[in-house]
Amino acid sequence: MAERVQTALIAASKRGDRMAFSDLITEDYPVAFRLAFALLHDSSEAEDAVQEAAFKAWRHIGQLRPAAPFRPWFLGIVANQCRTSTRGRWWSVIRAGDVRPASDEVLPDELATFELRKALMRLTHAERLVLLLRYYLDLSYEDIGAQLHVSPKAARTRTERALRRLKPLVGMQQVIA
Amino acid sequence: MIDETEVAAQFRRAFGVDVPPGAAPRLRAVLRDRLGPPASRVEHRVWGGLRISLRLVAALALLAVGVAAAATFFAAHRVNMPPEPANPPPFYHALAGRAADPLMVSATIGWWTPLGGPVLRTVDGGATWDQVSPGGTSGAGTGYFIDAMRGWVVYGSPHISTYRTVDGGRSWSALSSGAGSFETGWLFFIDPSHGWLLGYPSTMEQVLFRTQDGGAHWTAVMRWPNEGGCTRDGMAFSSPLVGWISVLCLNGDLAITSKTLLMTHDGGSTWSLAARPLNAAGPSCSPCLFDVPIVLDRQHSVIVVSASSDAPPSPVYLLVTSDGGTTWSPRSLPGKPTSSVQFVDAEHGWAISSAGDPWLYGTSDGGLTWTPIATKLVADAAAGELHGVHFVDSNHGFAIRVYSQVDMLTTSDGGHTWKFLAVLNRNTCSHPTPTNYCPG
Repeated sequence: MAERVQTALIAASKRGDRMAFSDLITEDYPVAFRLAFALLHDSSEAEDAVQEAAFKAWRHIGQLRPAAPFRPWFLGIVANQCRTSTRGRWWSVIRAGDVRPASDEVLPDELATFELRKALMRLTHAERLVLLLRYYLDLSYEDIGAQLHVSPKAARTRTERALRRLKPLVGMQQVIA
Repeated sequence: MIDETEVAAQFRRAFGVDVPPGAAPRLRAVLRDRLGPPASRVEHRVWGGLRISLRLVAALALLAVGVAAAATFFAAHRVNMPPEPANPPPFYHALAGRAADPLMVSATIGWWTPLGGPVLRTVDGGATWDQVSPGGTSGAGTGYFIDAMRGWVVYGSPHISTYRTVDGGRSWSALSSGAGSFETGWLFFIDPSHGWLLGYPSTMEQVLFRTQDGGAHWTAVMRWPNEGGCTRDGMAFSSPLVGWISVLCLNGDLAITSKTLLMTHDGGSTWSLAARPLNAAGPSCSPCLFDVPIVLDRQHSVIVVSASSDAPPSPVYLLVTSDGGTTWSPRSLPGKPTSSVQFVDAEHGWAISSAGDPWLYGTSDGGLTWTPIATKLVADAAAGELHGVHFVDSNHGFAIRVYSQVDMLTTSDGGHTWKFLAVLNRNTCSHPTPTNYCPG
């Protein structure tokens, strides 16, 4: 979305224009959904989390700093909503995206996927988030820094540190020398 | 040297998912229906302030006319509620949390009003769910259920509508309706008559409504302007007069700066900060974040306290009261980080401590001591981990085990032993479940 268009939509949203706000959210919905799915491991939970985050963004749109981009701010709300969703909500893992009938045989790819997901859950929320932003959403260090309110260099350092924390938890020796 | 391409490939294999078709349009539809009307620029301050404009007076007059007209249009179908027992049993609001969570009221019966979806009810412990929404309704309602048969659902759009059931959702009575749309937030009933509704009529304020006749009539008792990044994000009552509301304050980046509790002794008309008895009772957290109390009965409640210095904030200790909230005493938690803290009565509670493998801890003395109950639920190392637990009484509970599939397990001895209940699968919309309901 062109920066000028986004600035106009943000200004309209701050004035209470629901349609303008819906347009803002729709533009960033795919990346917000993918982030929520990666954090919650479930499609329906991800939809719910993005929806709740949208409501919070609407109520607090006045706090978005002038000239600040919408996407990092909204992704921060989504990430925070996912964190709130998982803590204390015992039902959250029920809606797993890959539920299938019981089977004695686990395929290698499925095992690797499960191992990576399980290993990520052992990291802190901040470590998990920075790895997902970089390696799943393909965000630049500039964009990650904007979301975390740190410099691009600090964002890179945090990412590398988180990756090294992940290394012993899952078989990643071949990609980290 | 990090091979970022390979790392990214591994992440995409692990999490690669297409955005579900229709998801974005669904969200647009929900936003269109549920967002409050554009904020009014009329300045008004009902709470402690006196600037009221003529436009606001006119708006309130129109609202009063609209409410009166709607009350006439919607005849209140009085239902002969069963008489209240002399000693009411503890209500399950202690387990309800946010209305969007499933609520098991017994080992087999539960209710659920998921966000944007219909009202659901299970009679087989959560394996299957039936749609039991009030006829003619659609969209998101806020539900509150006090036992297996009785409960309320409030819809905020296109106008405020209250429905009540006494037969497990087989039939509903339309009790009240108000003019104007309203984004419903929290609903809480302390008994079949006394309830409260907290929500957003606009982005500029939150309003607390109270009913003393089971939802037939709602009266606005308090308004808070949304300012300073603070909103009311939870409520609980222990009697028709005594209750709490949590106030969450965020900075410009929506990071939590404080979470405090307000307390009322007159049913919600006036509120005061409950800081002193809470801050004096436990260790310092600079600042401490106080969740709304888990109300167990009129005298006993538990507050989970988190430290904002943790990222993310995690529970660090508990505060318990046995005198209705006048005094509080600290209780420890089994270890950091802790999650899923819950109590079913003043003595029995559970918590998961996630240091290393998830550990399930239990207490039978109100949090004075915690004992590990279970780690892995089966001996097989490939069989997954315990994720969430939920108890409906001191013996009966449910747990989720996740490995290559998602199992629902049940216990009848307080969590010491578990047995398999069901594998949770997605079903088609012809047999809706929490994993795949069909809204609209």
